[in-house]
Amino acid sequence: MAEEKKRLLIADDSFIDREILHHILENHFEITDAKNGYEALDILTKKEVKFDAMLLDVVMPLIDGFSVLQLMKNNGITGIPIIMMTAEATKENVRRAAEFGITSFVSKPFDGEMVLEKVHTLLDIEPRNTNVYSVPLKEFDINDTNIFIGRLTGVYKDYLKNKGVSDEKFKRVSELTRILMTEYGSQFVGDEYEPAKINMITTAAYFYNIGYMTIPDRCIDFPKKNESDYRMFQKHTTAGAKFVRLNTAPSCAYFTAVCTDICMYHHERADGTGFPHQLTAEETPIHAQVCAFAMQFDEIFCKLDDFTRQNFNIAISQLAVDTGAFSEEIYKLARECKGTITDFYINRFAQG
Amino acid sequence: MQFLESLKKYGCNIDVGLDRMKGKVDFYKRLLFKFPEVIEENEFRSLIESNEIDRAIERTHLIKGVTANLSIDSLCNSYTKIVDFLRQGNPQAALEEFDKIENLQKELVDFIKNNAV
Repeated sequence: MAEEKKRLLIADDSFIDREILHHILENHFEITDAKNGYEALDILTKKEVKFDAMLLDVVMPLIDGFSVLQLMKNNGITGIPIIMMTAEATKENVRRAAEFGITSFVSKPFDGEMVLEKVHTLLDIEPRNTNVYSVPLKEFDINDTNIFIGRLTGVYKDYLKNKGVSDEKFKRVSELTRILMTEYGSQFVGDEYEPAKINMITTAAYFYNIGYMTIPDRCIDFPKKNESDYRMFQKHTTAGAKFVRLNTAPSCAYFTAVCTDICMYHHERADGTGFPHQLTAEETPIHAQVCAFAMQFDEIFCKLDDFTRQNFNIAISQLAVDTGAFSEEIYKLARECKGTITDFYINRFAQG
Repeated sequence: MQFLESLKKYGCNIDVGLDRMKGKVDFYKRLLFKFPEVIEENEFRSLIESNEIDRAIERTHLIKGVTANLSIDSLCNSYTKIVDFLRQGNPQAALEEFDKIENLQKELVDFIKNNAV
């Protein structure tokens, strides 16, 4: 039996723009049109159809896209993933959309592949299971999760072996994540960062690139040959998250939640210009930010002559050149761990 | 195809436009045939003269988006400037920019209407 198509609501005052969107999306989705914001609100309020996502134009007559969002909020119409459409993704538009928790934009003129990609990506997002973060781990959960981690490691190591890739970097990123998260967790009282959870975050960081298993090798290599390969490369984030999420066992919920976050968000940037969801630092879970920092810091630090504190400072300075990649909170955390980090690298490489 | 080729002299980037429509000539033509309606429903000069600036912004913004999607680059470039001028509170500059393209726009609309099926 054919899978039922997901339903989209398109709110755009331009007939021609709606027609083009139909042309791009109609083979993949069931589409309903609204010619303006009020019509969109009317359709949503009637609740005759449950929409999986909405594409909402920013500038429309009678009522603009942001007013539609405000009225949706006022009327308790929530839970619909939204993509804003605009010819001008200005900072102001991005900021106003973020106030409503929206981070996804498509620009006009439409790029068909990009629109399709954005909608698919948006529909890939499932609500983050943040409830599990504060629940203490039970011994049974830990044992069950360790069995799952063992299996996942086996699969990933086989893949890396077949590709002739060492897992040394992933181990270093994993340990660096442990150091940073331990320091971060020490500032909290309670179960949120108990040692067993830090262990799971550490292990999860090892798998940050597990989504590579699902994309062609040519899309992993740098530099990318073309735009299409780059888009495919970006998919390793959502693909990795989906792969980890295949385990739905409640006993493994904590690990799958943090590992999903890390796989999905390790290419996000503090300024909201990363991928796949253009989340800002405030919107990205701390463990994903820490893992992203660890992988980039490791890349730079390992190229320096030796692992002195001076070179640590140089590595941090080099990272900071890319303003907007990480928040000041992450740099502060790293500086607080300077001694531990340099010692870790010295010992790691002394061991060969 | 001859119809589309002829549009190049009005500043239409047909190759890019067709690419956006995945090479579907008939679909592209169908949308282009709708373009005169968009222009005629949004009389820019009269909105400025009656000082309906907010509405003028909405309507020119719409035309900007449509011309971008249809790859009518010549008009799109001017409407981009017109929207900017209006937002900056300078309707006079917007009108001056519109003066530059008014004839071209009229000729394009007439040409499309004369060739519409």
